[in-house]
Amino acid sequence: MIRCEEISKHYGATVALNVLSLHVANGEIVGLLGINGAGKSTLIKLILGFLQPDTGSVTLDTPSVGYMPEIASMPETISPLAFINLALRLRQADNQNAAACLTEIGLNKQAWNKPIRQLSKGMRQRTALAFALAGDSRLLIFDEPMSGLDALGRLHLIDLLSQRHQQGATILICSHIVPDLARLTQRVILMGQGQILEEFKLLQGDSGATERLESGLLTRAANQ
Amino acid sequence: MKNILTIAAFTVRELLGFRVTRTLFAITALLPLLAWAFSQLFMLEIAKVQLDVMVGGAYLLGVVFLLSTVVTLLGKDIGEQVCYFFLPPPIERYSYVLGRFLGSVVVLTLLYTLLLVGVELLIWISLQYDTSIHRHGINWIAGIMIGWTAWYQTISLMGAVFLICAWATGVAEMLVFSSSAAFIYWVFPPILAGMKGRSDADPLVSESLKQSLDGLSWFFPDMTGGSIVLAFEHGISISNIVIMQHALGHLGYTALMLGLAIIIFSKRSL
Repeated sequence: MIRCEEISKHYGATVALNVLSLHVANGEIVGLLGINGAGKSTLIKLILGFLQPDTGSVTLDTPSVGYMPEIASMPETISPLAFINLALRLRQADNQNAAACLTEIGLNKQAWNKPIRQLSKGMRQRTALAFALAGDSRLLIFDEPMSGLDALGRLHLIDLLSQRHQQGATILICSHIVPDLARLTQRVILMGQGQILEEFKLLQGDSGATERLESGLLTRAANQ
Repeated sequence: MKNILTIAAFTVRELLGFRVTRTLFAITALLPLLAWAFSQLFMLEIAKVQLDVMVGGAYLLGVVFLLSTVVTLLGKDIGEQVCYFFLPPPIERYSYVLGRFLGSVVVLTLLYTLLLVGVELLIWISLQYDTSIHRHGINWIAGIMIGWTAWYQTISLMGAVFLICAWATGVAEMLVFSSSAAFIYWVFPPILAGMKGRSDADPLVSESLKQSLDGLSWFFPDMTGGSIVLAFEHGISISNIVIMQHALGHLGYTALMLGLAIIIFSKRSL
């Protein structure tokens, strides 16, 4: 589904990604973990084509991608309902209903027709999530989807993403919240200084996953 | 094509939701009143004074619309990364640029349609109630020409604004460059024409400088639609070919600016 071959990206003298290769298979659910500046967001932007790699190549094997950016600035004058309708039309999913997408993500019905600028941070986050999930894209990419959500919202999102995964979606998720990654993903890629430092394969119901990931993050990434 | 139209329709909705757009519509609706009040300061050909105010208002509204709404929209899209929602596969970047452009053109057209209604209302009142000395040469086509020339000249400038926003970063930078472009477009070509047209200075100017000035004028659209309107207002006959040439020149300029904007935006990092 995603094939990154030896990609490098520099911002002036700063190395954001350093000859990194990553393959994500169809139906996989993969987490990206790393301290700030590890290159996670740059990797996601390269996968989505927002940035061009200095060297290497990125290939996507999917007609459409559902994406939720880290800092979700959205069209302020538009209502969540109109915004989700846009996602459905752009992804040729006219058979789906925007109201159903907003219900699925748990956005309060009273907020559906308000301009996005009037919504709270959590509601905006839910709207951005609904935008990514609308249209049943085969590949879903999330950059810090849990930030701004309350505990219930986080649990609901984990449940929702698990359902999408069971329906065959491939998911790439970047998050700082280790327990959520441990609970949700099959494989976690630990990044540091633009490289893959370590990969963790996680089994379902792996009770020690969080500790292993945290320990890896502390020892490998903190030494960078 | 479907994606372009989808983004265009969304852009119309988004722009109409801006407070500044609604304010511009309110100002446009009140402009005939302002024109009427201003014309009361004059003794003769009052209808022409009213139309002149409407011409000035139309051009000013176009520039304000571009700087306050279109630049803000694109600045937020690119600077604050709202465009991340539009641009993941399968959306091509050219669809985004063309969709945003088309949507902006539709809102501008609505604005100028309202202006045209006001202009025609002033002309109708003048034809009904003014004495012939106040409405000499005035007819309803003059009103259409005001809206039409202001519309396509503003669209030319919009093409340039899209080109600027395709490479600039952030609202502030886009605003500074777009304002400068608007100022230069209106001010520089008449200065160039004036420099070339001075018979006393002509023998002193070298051929190479004249050619350079001619070359420089190719970078600017011909923003002299006001003189076409003026001819209509005063009942001076003007060739249809001249009018079409003026409009087609702007169409070509817009296409060129938009094409360059698409090329630059397709290659830029977001």
